[in-house]
Amino acid sequence: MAVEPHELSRRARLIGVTVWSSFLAACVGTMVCFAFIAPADLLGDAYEGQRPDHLGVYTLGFFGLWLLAALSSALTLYLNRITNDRAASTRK
Amino acid sequence: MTALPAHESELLYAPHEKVYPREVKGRFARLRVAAAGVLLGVYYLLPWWQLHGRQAVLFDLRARKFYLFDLVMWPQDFIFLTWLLILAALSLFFVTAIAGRLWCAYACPQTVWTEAFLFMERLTEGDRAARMKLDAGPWTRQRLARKGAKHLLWLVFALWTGITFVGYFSPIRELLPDLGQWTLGPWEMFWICFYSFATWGNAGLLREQVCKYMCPYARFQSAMFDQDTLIITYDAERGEPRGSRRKAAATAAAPRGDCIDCTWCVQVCPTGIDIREGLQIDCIACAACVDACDQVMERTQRPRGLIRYTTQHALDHQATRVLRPRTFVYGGILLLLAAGFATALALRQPLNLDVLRDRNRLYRELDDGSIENVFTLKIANMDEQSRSYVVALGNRDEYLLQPAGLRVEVPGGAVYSTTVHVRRIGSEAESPSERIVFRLSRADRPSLTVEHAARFLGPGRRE
Repeated sequence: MAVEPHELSRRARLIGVTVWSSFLAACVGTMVCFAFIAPADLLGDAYEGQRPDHLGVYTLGFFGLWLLAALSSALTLYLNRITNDRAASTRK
Repeated sequence: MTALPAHESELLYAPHEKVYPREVKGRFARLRVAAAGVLLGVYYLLPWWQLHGRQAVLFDLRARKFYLFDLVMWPQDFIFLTWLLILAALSLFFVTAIAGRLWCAYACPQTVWTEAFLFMERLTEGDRAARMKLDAGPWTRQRLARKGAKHLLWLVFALWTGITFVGYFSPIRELLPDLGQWTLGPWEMFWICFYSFATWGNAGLLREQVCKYMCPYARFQSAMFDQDTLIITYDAERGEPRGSRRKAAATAAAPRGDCIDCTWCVQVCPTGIDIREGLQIDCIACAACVDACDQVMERTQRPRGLIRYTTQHALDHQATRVLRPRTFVYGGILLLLAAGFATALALRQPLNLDVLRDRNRLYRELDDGSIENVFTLKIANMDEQSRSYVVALGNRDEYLLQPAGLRVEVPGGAVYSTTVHVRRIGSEAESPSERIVFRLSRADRPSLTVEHAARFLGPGRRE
């Protein structure tokens, strides 16, 4: 059976956890955010004469929130690792 | 706090070994296939259902309206959607407390699509043994053809999934012709590709890893469990000591349990666990091992149910209680929220009024000494039919609305904007800002009224 390299597999899973948890947060965030903000309000006057692309605003909003949440998740994992490493070294 | 050194914490993640679930037949497999069929059918067909000349279920992002059969949700109704999601989550908790991970086994999209993808894999690459042989062998032409066919099938299925997904957000009957003529918007195209890719990745490649490492529900579902929750478990009392019958007879060893250690339960497991090691968080309760073991038990002429749906209490030879405090608490909250939702929905007024003050000028003094403010009214008719409305000023006699007795006709599902003047007559206002109330009623049903307060600004009383 194919066994993937140990280290890569662990990193892949950490990335998976980060991406997935931030995806869920972005879903909720997008829903809440755009329930109160209409893309037309955002684009409003700046795009006078042009038809604003609503789906584009939703998409960028969603991915923006996803990126933000992913950064937060990654930072949490990273800080947690440092904390753990320090705890481990002081115990020794 | 127990912190693990880096090398130990790495061990928390076992190296990934590809799982080759063996196909299983039996009553729970039939139930699972039926559930998957119904759910996939609903997903792929629902966008095609037309109602009142529009798509029955459509989350119209462009118009910012959600159509759920007869219901039309506006952004103002956001609370209902949130409420609905909370209700869904609580139902999940309730079902989990009573019947365990039924969601994971029969209804979770991850399970359902994985099952569909596994079906296509079996179609092209053959059964478990054939798949393992294929993967272990060299890259022959046959392997290339089989793998290619599998990925082609997966790709088409994933693409159709992506198109259907976007069809929930922009009308699918317009989407397909646009797609055919390559006139689809770039964002629609992007979402079709993105969702297809996610489907292909999740159901084709990641599979059980999503349940094991990514799913939050898999982690906290055990909090809903108690001794009376339905679980799938191996009856160790009956099964142990396990081992081959033939060997036992040959060596005349100690009497054997019912488990013949054929490992079928392990081979059919989509998450690759051994249920005989006890209840595990990786178990999605799909009951594939139940079907597999039942077949083996029939062949060895033993009663079915060595692996079965049961409860911890039943295993401990105690009575199982379906009605227990947990049932009542979850059920009670669920009922309360559902009743509240139904009531709020029934009382929902298909009408909304927004009042915006004229930003250019706070107030104007007219020649006769009266003060005037200008407002913009935004009247949203949330009905699907055209309606006629009457606007009036609510609370105070010293304010006059112009035009007086304003009556507006608003088409179904539209927002109508109009400018009105409000004039204060008679004595001077006590304060420079007074509260006035706009009242909007439906002409043919005055009981349907909404109000919106605003501030009327003036110079105030002059000393």
